[in-house]
Amino acid sequence: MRRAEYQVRKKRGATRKLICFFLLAWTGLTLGQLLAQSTASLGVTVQVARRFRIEISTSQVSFTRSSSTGVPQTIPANEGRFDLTVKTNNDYSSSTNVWFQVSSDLVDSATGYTIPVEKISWQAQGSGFYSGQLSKAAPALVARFTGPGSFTGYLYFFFAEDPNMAPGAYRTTVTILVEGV
Amino acid sequence: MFTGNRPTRFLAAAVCTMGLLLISPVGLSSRVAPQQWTVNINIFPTAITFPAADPDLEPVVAANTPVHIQVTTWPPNRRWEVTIRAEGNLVSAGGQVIPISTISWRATPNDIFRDGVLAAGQNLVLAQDRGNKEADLSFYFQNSWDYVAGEYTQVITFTASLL
Repeated sequence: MRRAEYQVRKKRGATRKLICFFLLAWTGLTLGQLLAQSTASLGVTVQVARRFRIEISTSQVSFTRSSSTGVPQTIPANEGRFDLTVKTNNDYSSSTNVWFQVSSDLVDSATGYTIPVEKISWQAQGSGFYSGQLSKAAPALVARFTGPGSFTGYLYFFFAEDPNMAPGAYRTTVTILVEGV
Repeated sequence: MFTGNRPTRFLAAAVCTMGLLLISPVGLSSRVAPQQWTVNINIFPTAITFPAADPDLEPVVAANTPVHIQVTTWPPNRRWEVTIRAEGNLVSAGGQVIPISTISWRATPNDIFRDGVLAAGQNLVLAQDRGNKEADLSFYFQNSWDYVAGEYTQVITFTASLL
């Protein structure tokens, strides 16, 4: 009886060894498969340049005095609201300034008569936008922002009419200047 | 288990072995020369650049060159998988970050190699097939005014594995 039990135990032991061996072999093969890998690296660079963009709703603003009342009056622009959008990817700690720069008064080319450009002013709506008045002496600040983004303001231009101004067609050019600081 | 006389045990063990080898994706032939099984991936070039561009004029910027990818295996008919992984987002020297998901790719031909969008720290399956294959990957960057000026970099890892 004891000998029979011994034989059975011996057989079971041998079987366990066989199973262990096959399991080890299988694990080794699977591991070998896992190790069959290859890698390659790709370096990626994205270049972003500092940029500013100005977008305006119209390239011309005009005022019409159809008849003088005899007293000074304020005439709004015929075009109504002037939309000014400035886009920038300036960095977060830097400012963007927007200026109106004008170098000459309003001039009637037919007569040579002039009207001071300071007669034109604007009221501003929009965060970072300021109301102001055109000036030959120095650029007028229109807006100031910090960091990147797209900023839009709405400007309403006015002309301070004077009854003493001679009739005519007076023109000048205003440059919108954007400056990253 | 596997008790009985010697031939019975041998038979049981043999069946078991065969079963295990069949279950194993390596297959029976690996018993012959597992050390010769290889998969190799090669790409060229190893660096790409997205040049600076106006976001309004070029909302999507193409990389300066496509990337040629080639997978070879031994034996030649082995089944493989290639994954693509961005190790993180695009980061500038100043610490500014652009999400890596702004970069996508298109594969040509794309019957085996797939199109996709990068994801930070994730292995994405680029292709599964068998044998030697190659393709061109064209990468694109989704441009925006929101990205502050600078030079942003990141590493993409391609991994080929035998299945």
